[in-house]
Amino acid sequence: MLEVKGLSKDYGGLRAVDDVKFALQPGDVFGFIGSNGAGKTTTIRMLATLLEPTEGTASLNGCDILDDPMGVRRQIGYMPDFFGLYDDVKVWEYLDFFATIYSVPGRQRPKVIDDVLELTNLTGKKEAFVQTLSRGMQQRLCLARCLVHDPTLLLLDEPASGLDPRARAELKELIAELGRMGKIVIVSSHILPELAGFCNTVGIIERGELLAFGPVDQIVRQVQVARILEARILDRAGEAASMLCGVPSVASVAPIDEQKLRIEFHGSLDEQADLLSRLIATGFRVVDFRELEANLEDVFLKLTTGAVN
Amino acid sequence: MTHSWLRRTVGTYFGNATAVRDYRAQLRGNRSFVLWAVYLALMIGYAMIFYTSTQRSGYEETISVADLQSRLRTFYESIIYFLGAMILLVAPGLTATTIVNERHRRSLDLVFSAPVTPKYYLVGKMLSSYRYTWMLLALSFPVTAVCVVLGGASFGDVFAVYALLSFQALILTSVALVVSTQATNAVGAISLSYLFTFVYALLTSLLAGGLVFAGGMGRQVGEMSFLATLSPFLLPFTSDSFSMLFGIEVPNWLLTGVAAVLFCKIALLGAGSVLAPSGSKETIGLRLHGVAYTFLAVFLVASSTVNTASAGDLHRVTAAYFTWMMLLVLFVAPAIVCFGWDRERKYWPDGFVTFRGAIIGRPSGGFAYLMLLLGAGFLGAIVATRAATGLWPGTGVVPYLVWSIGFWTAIWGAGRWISAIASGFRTAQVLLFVLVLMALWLPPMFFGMISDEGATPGSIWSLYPLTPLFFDRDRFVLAVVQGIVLSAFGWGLAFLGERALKNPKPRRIRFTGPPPVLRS
Ligand SMILES: Nc1ncnc2c1ncn2[C@@H]1O[C@H](COP(=O)(O)OP(=O)(O)O)[C@@H](O)[C@H]1O
Ligand SMILES: [Mg+2]
Repeated sequence: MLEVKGLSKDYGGLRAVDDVKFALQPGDVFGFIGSNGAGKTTTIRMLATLLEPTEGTASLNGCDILDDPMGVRRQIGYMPDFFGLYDDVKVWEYLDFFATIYSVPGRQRPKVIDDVLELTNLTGKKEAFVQTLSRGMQQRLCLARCLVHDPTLLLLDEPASGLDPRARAELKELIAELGRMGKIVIVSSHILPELAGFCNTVGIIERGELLAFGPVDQIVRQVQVARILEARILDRAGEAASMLCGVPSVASVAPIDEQKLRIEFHGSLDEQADLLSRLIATGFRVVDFRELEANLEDVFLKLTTGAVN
Repeated sequence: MTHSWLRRTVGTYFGNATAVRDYRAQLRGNRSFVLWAVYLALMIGYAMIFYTSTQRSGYEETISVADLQSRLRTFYESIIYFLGAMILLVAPGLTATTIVNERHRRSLDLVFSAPVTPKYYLVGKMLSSYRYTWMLLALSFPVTAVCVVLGGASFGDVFAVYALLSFQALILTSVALVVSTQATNAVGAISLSYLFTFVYALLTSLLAGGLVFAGGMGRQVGEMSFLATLSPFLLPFTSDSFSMLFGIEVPNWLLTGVAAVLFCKIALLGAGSVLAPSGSKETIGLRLHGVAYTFLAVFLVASSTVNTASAGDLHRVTAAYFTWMMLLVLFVAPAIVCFGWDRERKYWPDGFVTFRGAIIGRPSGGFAYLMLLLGAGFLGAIVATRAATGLWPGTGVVPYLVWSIGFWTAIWGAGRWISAIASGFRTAQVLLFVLVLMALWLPPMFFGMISDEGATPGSIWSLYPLTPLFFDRDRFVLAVVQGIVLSAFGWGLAFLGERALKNPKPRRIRFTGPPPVLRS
């Protein structure tokens, strides 16, 4: 289990990470979301014992990042937001190097290398030179490198950046699989849809502060104030919009196209039903009227714009 | 416990993963083989030219065996010079880029997020580049062996020369490794390494030249300080020299080997302390070794030369050792006294004067650490004098101690003040070093122009901080007065620096970042 206890980091006068606290259990896939410069990399590097926190600490299965960095390092796989690959090295040699520095015994190394290559779907590239791999493969190789010592915590810093949609989908599948294997996975990203699919926990960070943390649906519910309704009206959608604006529990109405309206609605379910009857009673030809499920992106926008205001 | 320690230590030196990986890359493709072929061809070509030129002169009249021997000796010597030059060129060049390149590729983070100690990693780097230099040395062995077979040199000679060349290469590799750890780009690392190499070659050759030719005769074989064997350019004269230690004849290559290994050790600690977080055991080790080495260095140099002095001015001789040798500390003083915010937290100002900081390597320990080094050097000189002559140097050394304290306090104060007003750690270090160098370099030139009477009492030379160290006569009063003035100057600057720290100019504005960027 990972416990992050009030991590903070100052760079000179700048507070890059401010009192970040959370805890994760084995099997958690944690989406760490924040815009560029929010402090994701700084937090992850502190967890990887590469950066000394100004305040606070964290512990992984009883090893503290300050008191026992080596104990922590043995349990983590860190994938930075750059590749850090060596030239002139073959795929298996690259993995062999990391297996050695993670003290994987010499006899087990060949098997471990084959296993991680298979998991990351690189078996055919074992003898290839690292620099000849495609970007997606290099990214998977980096992930393979993090797995040679069977870590309990994976720190993946923007793993999907620069990948094509197909490589991205493969990576997601791989990360989900790691979660199922019982590892704690932290995946950071500044692009929301990337994470929405396979994380079961999210945290939203902005200017160093963790604004929200918890299971995905809980966060969505917590932050949601207004529901979003979408209505499709065959004709005179504009008139319908101006009528809806007069209703007290409607916060705003925005046309999506000629027929569709997006309605931000505060009222109860009863009022929502009334709203529909009213539309029909007035003679509008409603073919669709439904509530859109709020998604992470809305939550993110809401939280972060809240922080800016 | 012992077992795992042993396994760890063996694993660091044998089968070190970093070295293995570098080695694979080094030997990949035919780059290395082309390089070796060219190198061998050069050496053999040179041997051929020499051989034919010997032959040609042989036509005129048959040359005597003695003549041939001396020609072979010349050939052998020139091969050694060639190897010396090769080491100076190859060792720093191979090493200087290793770490800075990894930093650039940012693969250092990958390594240090694994359970790897800086020592393991640095030893690996060192092994891989040192082994390469060593291979080049070994490749030349057939050529030198020919000299032995033909009678130009003995195997003992050749062995001592190769041992000495390896030790010199070890020293140069260590220096380049430290430079590479500190540097921010490859070009800087390479230039700085070669600068240090140049300074090394120059200083050791001057020193060795002095020691070799001190006896008056050109080729003096026999007892001499091992310092003479540090130069790659006087090996034919120094390789078979020895030192008398407690009445035993010890070959100098052995002493140089010990010195090189000790140097390598402190260099590794230095590099390790740059890579490790603050208060690491590397830093503490470096600080403690620094004190011990200062004592040892002054002791060794003083005890091997002090007996030439007469008893009357023993205090002056003793003082000369600890004052002048301590000036070498100027090279590392900026790293000891300066601070700044632009790097990791270990360089941030953490107080004014603490003793703890001196051991864990924080800026607040700057003053205490300089004083510790000074104390170690002072002790080294005194003990060496006593050991070599059986006499104490007398109270005449005290004024020079006062001067030394003042001088180093001034360096410390200047470092604190510059750090407080400069924009970063690196800037402060460079600024301090350049300013101190100028303060020591410029006045003699300037004074030389305006006064031709030399450093007589009461002349303008009394203003020059190094005047008490000329030691052509006792300058007790000047040393004490300058010491007090320099101390006051140092503390004054340090307090100015503290004030600048307490009332900082608005330095950085708190981040008011861009609006969230989203992509769908
Ligand atoms: N080495 C550094 N020195 C000074 N400021 C830094 C350094 N690294 C990051 N920062 C600042 O810290 C903040 C957080 O950066 P980072 O953690 O890299 O953000 P993210 O990964 O979320 O994009 C940014 O404002 C950045 O400018
Ligand atoms: Mg980042």
